[in-house]
Amino acid sequence: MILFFVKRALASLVLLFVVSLLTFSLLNLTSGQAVARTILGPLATDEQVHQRAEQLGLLAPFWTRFGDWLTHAVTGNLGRSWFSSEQVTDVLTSRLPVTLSVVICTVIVTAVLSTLLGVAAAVYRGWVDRAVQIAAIVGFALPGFWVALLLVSTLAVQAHLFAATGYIAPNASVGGWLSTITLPVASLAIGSIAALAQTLRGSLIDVLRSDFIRTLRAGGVSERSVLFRHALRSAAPPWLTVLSLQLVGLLGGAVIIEKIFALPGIGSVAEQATARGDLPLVLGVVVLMVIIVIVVNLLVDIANGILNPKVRIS
Amino acid sequence: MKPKAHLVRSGTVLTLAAVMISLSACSGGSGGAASNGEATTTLKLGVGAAPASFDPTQIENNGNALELAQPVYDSLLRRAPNGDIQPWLAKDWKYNDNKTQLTLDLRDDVTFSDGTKFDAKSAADNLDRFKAKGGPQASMLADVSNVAAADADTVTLTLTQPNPALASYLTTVAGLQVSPASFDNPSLATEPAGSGPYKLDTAATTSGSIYTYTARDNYWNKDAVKFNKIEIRVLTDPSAMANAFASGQIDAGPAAVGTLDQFKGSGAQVDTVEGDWAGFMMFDRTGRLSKPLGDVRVRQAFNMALDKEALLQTLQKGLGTVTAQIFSPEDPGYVPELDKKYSHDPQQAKKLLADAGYPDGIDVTMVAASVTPADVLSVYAQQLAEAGIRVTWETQDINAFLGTMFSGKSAINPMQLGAKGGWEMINQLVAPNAPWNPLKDQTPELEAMIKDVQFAADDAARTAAVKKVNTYLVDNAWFAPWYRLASPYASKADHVGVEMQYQQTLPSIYNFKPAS
Repeated sequence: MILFFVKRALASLVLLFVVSLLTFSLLNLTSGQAVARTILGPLATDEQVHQRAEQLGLLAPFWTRFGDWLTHAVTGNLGRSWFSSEQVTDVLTSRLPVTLSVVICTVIVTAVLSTLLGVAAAVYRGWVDRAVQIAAIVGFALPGFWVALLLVSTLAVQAHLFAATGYIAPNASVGGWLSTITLPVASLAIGSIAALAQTLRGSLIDVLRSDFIRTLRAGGVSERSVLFRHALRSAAPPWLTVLSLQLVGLLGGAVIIEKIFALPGIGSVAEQATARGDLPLVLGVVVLMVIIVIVVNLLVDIANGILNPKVRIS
Repeated sequence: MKPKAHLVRSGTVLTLAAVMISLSACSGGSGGAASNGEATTTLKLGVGAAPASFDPTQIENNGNALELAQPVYDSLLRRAPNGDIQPWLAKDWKYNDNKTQLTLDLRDDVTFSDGTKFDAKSAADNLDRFKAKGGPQASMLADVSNVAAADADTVTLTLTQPNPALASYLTTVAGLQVSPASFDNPSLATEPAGSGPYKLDTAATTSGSIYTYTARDNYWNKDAVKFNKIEIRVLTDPSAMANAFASGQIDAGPAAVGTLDQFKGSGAQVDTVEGDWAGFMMFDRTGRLSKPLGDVRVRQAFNMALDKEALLQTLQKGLGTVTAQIFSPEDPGYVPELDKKYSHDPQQAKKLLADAGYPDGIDVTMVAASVTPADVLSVYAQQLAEAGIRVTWETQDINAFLGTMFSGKSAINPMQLGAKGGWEMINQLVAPNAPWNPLKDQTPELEAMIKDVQFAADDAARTAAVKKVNTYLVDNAWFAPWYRLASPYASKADHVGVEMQYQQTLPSIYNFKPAS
């Protein structure tokens, strides 16, 4: 068991190193002078631009700069944004809760509703199954941002039921928080629910047809127990995998939603930082994302282990 | 056998959804907009970009950034909505005879938000700091060799040469006053310390998202404070801006051309201000990079090639004015007749090219920012081709694009620039060492005319001198402007009154007042 975690930890460190090196190299394609010019704008003299480039350490060789960043990063110091001079860790810690709020709520809503729909489709079949499948196709087809714009114009602007833009933290006001995340969550969830309901439906149908289920039924186990204690547990692994992929995908998909709803999350800062070439901030976001993906994968593996003894290590 | 547990589950989900909706509706999804004619004491504004910093030395774009700095910072001089320079922290200002010394007479009743008193020494230190920090606009004070506090409320700036735009610079970032106690505060970028009418409420502020300012006591100009609170939301997406306006979260904000219909549908009053001009920046007027461009007839051909009226209609919904000069009507150098100087005439353009020795037309490569839509570039190329100019586009990302221009590698490319007043424009675009003149083009006549502007004895002489420069630039086709853009600004007339500000896409904070 310990060995499992140690191997995981080592693999994660290697992954973090590789991804940050890759990102650093890609952003390195724009010269240090050009970035300094963008920071200072057209009216600064060449001398000022050169001075700023030196100040930010943009003129040192590649490995010196990367090594510098790495040695600071492992101690938790991700540097300062080149454009706004804010500490990268400050920016990330203030923005992460917003994105996590939206993503985690989307995952919960998706998990609950997709289970409902997937189970209904697999158990009832017939018209219920067809309705769920059609709903899933429609859900896939509708682009998230289109749904978002539709929801905003009907439920926020016209009906005044929800906030059109902005984010209110839950500790400031639970009602306010709900008013600001409901529409973003709804926009993101529709596509996810479609994918997950289909996945669960498929694997549940297969499982319900299998021998061991027939054996359980023959043995007199109640239908309710067959479904919830046995069948769902066996059907869960593919659903869990897709859920974790959805979660990671949501972190990226949140960028557009964050823009439409003006949510101060990771997505919007990542977009702006990348466009401007703000290396410290982009690296900070990338490192954070990799860590989140590693954690999510770990949790999914543990959940799979709990649900399905076949995949446990011991 | 059909299990019934899922029915219980679906019932739970529906109840949960109902609870969520009612909770959020109760909290006021409309953002608490005042209705039924109550006095508005909160000014709610939208802006399209977050401020880079609350340290004035690091602020880059004046036209958009000032609105966010003005609640907390005062400037030495102020610009009225029509562009006139007025007293603010400086009650009076005057030059010596040869315009190499500017003396400011300062108010003595001003304190910073941290209690420090504002005086001539803090003004002098601020100016020194602005120059020393080498930020984006530090070149505004490039001609200032020394700043001295003659006494407690008099400060003198000594110049190495006359700079007619200096007083104007002191109305913007170069003149913003930071409390000296915060000069070395590493958090100055997010924690402003100024003498302005408001304080930043850091508890209600989320950097990059929403900025809340509350009126402070002991502000020296009570008449300027018309609201108890200001809330500025950063909405980078144009539809988010339109939605925030429609749902009452903001009472005023810039309206992107594509969203104007939505704003008008929400009952917005839309005012416009002409701030930017769009056109071809011709960096190469001597033919160094592109031989044909060295001939004035070729450059004139560029001025006649595009159907500017049609472009204005299609790309900007007609918001703006077709022009052939880079100066705008509010500037003293503006010459009304020049707006019509080059009409759309591809045949005449071809003839000019032939006269210049290019009967088969010319080939030119132009860089363009990758954000420019490809179909727009092909429209330009098509119209240029009708005039005998064959364009090959090279798109670059914004960093590389700026780098190419400033390192003098581009002969000509499309660009959009902010309009500026007389000397500022000359200094930034036309003078031999101007940042927007990377190839350092100059002619003896132009240099003499520029000197006339710089050393003009009074405003009337300067205006005449700038007009001469302007006419020269247009006759010699130093640029090929298409039109001035009118940037729309939307407001709810029953909540706020707003006056547009000279050459700023976002009005100054002083230009807003409650509707009643």
